[in-house]
Formats: sequence, structure tokens, C-alpha cells
Amino acid sequence: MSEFMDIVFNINNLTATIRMAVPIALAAMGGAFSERSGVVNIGLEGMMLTGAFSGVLACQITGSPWLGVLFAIIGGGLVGAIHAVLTVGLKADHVVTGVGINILASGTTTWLMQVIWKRKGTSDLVAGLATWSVPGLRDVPVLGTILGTHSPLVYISFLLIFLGWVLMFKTPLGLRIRMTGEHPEAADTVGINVRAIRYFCVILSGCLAGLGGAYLSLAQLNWFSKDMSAGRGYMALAACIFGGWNPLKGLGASFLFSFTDAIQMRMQTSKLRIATELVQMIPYILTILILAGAVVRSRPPAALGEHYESGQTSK
Amino acid sequence: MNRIRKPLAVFSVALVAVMVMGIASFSVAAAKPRMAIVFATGGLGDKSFNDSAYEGMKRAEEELGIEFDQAEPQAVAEYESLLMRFAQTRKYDLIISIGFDQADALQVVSERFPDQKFAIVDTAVDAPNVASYVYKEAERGFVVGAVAGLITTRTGDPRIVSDKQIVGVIGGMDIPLIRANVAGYIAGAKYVNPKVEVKYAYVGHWADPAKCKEMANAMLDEGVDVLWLAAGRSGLGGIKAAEERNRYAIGADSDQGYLAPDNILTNGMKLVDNTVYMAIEAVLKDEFKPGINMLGINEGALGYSESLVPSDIIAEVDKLAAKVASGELEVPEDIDQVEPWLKAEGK
Repeated sequence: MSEFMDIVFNINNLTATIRMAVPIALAAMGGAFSERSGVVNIGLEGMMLTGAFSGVLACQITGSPWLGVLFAIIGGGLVGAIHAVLTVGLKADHVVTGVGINILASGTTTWLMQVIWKRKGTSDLVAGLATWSVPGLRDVPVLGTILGTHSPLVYISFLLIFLGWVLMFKTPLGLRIRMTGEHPEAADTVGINVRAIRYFCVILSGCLAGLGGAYLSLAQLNWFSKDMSAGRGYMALAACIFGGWNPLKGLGASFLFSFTDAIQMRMQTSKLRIATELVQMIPYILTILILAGAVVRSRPPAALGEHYESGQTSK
Repeated sequence: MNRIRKPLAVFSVALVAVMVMGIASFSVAAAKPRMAIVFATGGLGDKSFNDSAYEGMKRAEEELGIEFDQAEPQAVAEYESLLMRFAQTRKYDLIISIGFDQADALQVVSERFPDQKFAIVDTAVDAPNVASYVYKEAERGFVVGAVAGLITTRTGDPRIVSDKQIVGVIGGMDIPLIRANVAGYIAGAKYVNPKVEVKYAYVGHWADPAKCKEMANAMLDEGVDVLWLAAGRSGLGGIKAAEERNRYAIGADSDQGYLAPDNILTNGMKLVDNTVYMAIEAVLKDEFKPGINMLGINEGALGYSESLVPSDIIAEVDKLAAKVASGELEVPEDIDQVEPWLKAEGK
């Protein structure tokens, strides 16, 4: 039992948790914005993958990882725009479109990688982002180990997630977004442009997922690898729902998922030789248990997944 | 009559840009033996399995005077139709499948064309017209494990962080093939150094380098000096972790030294080129042998690269490799068998 406690309360776990949670939390916030405005976004995975790819490509061409990050945001945003045009503009089914986006992103990035780098598995190595050590903070005993040295994108992401929460719950625009997702007719009646709000939110969700992708390909690694998002977009969607469509709670959910994953990794190498299959299941079992318990209480936006035409009367 | 058709490249891009179907080039000349090869989905340019197989084909072209056609499937679902397409022409002396995931497709196609000779690399297909080339994975693990077990005692090396003598291995998935590698690694490390501690874990994914990097970090936190990555594309993330923290990493399948020139100690090599060459040579010599052909160090199909390994360690490991090749040492293939095996060997 003490061996088990050593694994769970290892400080390095918390550092790893932060590193692993960031891309999920960013995409989860993207999901929160999109869904709060009424558009289901299952395409986060594809947007993240496109961001990871665009980031590496831009970094290779310009030599600057920061320009890479910028283009990752733009790349993710463009895929978000496709989702927005199809779902908001052309009123396609949100889930079908999202799945299509994921397949499209996987195929396109693999194909372009072949054209550009003449390889199928991984791209060339590029100059990734260096880590930051925060002066002062890094010398504080425990906190310094956990928070002191990370990629700059980690700190930027925390700031963005806080700002996202402010935008969603403390500003008039946030109120309009939430109203659009809850009751588009009512929003329309008071002069809110439902289409514009939805376009904005879906594109924003693409930008955020794209930034999450850049974190994978430019901060954690420094290359693009086929299908490197590896299901993080779906984890983000789960974190978004578990977090009640709230960026801060979504961050908390991402921490929890990543923490269980970190424990799982350490448990495998420990002297407690539990079957690997069982250990690897921990994060997923926890996710299911939490979602089964949490979804009952968390209520999605009322008009989520529904199309709306300005002037339309209630169905 | 000598009719020469110009090379024809078929390049079709599907609507969704999802599928680039594969490139097949055909050229006909008289009387030379003809082979066909269907690569694994990783495709050419993987700097590993497929590229190595291609090398073998090129060598056979030059040295054995064969000609060959190739196909690069994009998805597992395409294997069957590509194998079928080659088999239907009835003009190939041998059709080679690369990679374990072609087994199901080849099973079907080999039954439909009982007179066609097939070979498959890295797995077994039970059919009277298929020669299966399978590796003794544990032998490769054994030699790199021995390198790891010896290097971890060299505390003067800046990449050896402590005198605790801990080495590690990360596998892609917990499957028999990878477990055999891990068993060989543990056996090799402990055979040369009874004091060594070996940690092992599995990513659970072949294509998630970010996750593998975290797993590697978790191991490096625990004082692992040398880490073998037997995890496909995921493994590259582990190599990055070792490079960032200046420890030793061991690559897999082919020479991955270009990724981290100062940190890739050695590579557990799977010499697919030699395997492909061997399969072709067997057909040309009329020695085609259906059934399972086990390949190991003795056949020149497995081995390790010298990369950064000090010369005295190379000398010692080569001696062990020779013992494995001669059959004097039989490396255990299961992790649970390692301890009893070590006892039996008097270690």
C-alpha cells in the first residue's frame, strides 16, 4: 500500500499532469465555446491535428516556432471555419460533419506530409519551443518543481483559459453566446446575430484546438507525426462535458484525466505488478464513471445541435 | 518478341484527399525473374521497415538480376486487392508481403492462387504456398539488453546519472511480439550484470510520441540510464526525452541515430533487407520453403548497431551474440521465464 501511495503522491506526477493536460484543456475550452453557442463540435480532434501540422510546416518554412504557433491557430481556425460553414451556413448535421472533419484532417495531413517531406510516418525535425524557467517561482520548493519550468505555451494556455472563462461568464458577448445556445429565438428577438455568434464561436474553437495541436508538435515534440493527436480531441470533448461547458472546470477535468494517466504510467514500472491492461484502463474507467455520474447533473445548452434560421418561429 | 511498355504510373487522388491509392510501375523485359512486393501501410520513407525491405529488393535487383514491381497500400483494407492484382497476372515468381497485418489478406489470396508462391515477413501464414519469415525477437532484445547492462556501470560517462544501475525498456503494446523483445532485454541485461534493475512499461499506442515521451520521463525520473524504445512511431518521443535529459536511448528496427546523435547508444536492428533478399534467393535456387522460417542473429536478420557503444563492450556483446547464433544460449521469450533461465545459466 505504501508503494501505491508513493506513486500517487509523487511530485513528478503533478508536473507530468500539467504537461499532459494543456492540449486537452485548450481543446476542451474550444468545445465549450462552440457548444455554448449551440454547435456540437466532435471535430476537435481534426482541428488539433491540423494545428499540429500547420505549426510544424510554418516553423519549417519561417524558422520561427512562434510563427509556427500562430499558423497552428490559423490552421485550426480554418478547419473550424469549414465546420461553421457546413453546420451553421448549410445546416448539415453537426455530428456527421464533425466526424467528416476528423477523417479529412487525418487524410489531408498524411497526404501533405508525403508531398512536402516525402515521408509517411513523421516530418523532418524543426526548431521547437524552448522551455521557460520562471525566476523566483522555480526556486520555491514543491511549487517550483510542479510549476517552475514548462513550455511558455503552458503559461499562455492557463492565461487564455482564465480569459476564456471571463469572456464566457463576465462579459456581454459571453451572455450573448450562452443565450444563442440556450434559446436562439429569444436571442434573435433582442437583436443578437445568431449566425455571427455561432460562426465566431466555432472558428474560435478551431483556433484553440489548433493551439493545443501546436503544443503537441512544437512544445512537447518538434516534429509532426501521423495522427499524433491520438484521441486527445475526444478526451477534450469529454473534459468539456464533464466540466459543464465551462473553461475553468474543463481545465480541472483535463487535470484529472491526465493525473490518472500519469499514475498509470508510474504504476506500470513499479514493483506492484498489476496486469498492464488493467492499469492502462484506469483513466478510461474513471472517465466513464465520472461522466456517468456527472452528465446526469450537467445540462447541455438547450439548443445544442439544432439549426436556426433568423425569424424562424419555435418548432 | 520483345515488347517494351513504358513505365506507367497510376496516381489517383480520392475526393476527400483521404486516399492516395498507391503507385505501381510496370515494366516488361524478357526472361528475367520477376518479383512483386506489397509494402506495409507505413509506406516508403519510414526510415525503418519498408525502406529496409526496399533496400533488399534493390540489392536483389543488382546482385541476383531480378526485376520487381511494388505497391504501397495506404490502409489495411487495400492489402487484399493489391495482392490479388499481382497474383492475377500470373507472371511473378514470388509475391512478398511486408508486415504482420497483411496476414489475413494473404491467407485469402494464397488460397485463391494455390500455384503462386508467396512470402510474408514478420508473421506466419499457414498455407502450402506461403513461406513465412518470423523473427526470434528475444535475440534482438538480448543483445541490446546486454549493451545496456554493461554501459550502466560506466559512471564516468555524463549520460550515466547514478551508480544505481537501472535500465529500462518501453514497448508499444503489451503483445507477445513485444513481450519477447522485453524478455530478451531483461535476460541480456541481467546475464551480463546481475546487479542491474530493469524497468519496463507499454505505451498502449504505436503512434503517440507525446505520450511515450511522458512515459520515458517517468522512467528517467526513477534513475534509468539507458532506455530502449520498442514502440514504433511512439518511440521517437522517448528518444526525445532521453536527448533532453542527456541519457542514453536505444532505437528499434533501423538506425535511428540521426534523431539524437549524442544519445542513441545503439539500435535493436531488424534487417528486413537481408530477409527479403533471402526469400528471393530461396526461390531462385529452387529452395522455396513453405511454412515458418525462424530468423535470428545466426541468419543475419537481427542484430545491433555499433553507434556509440564503446569498443570493449562491442567485443563482449559480439561474443554473446555468437553464442546465441550457435544455439549455445537460448534466449527466453517470456518475461516470467527470465528468472528461472538466469538461474539455470548460473547467473
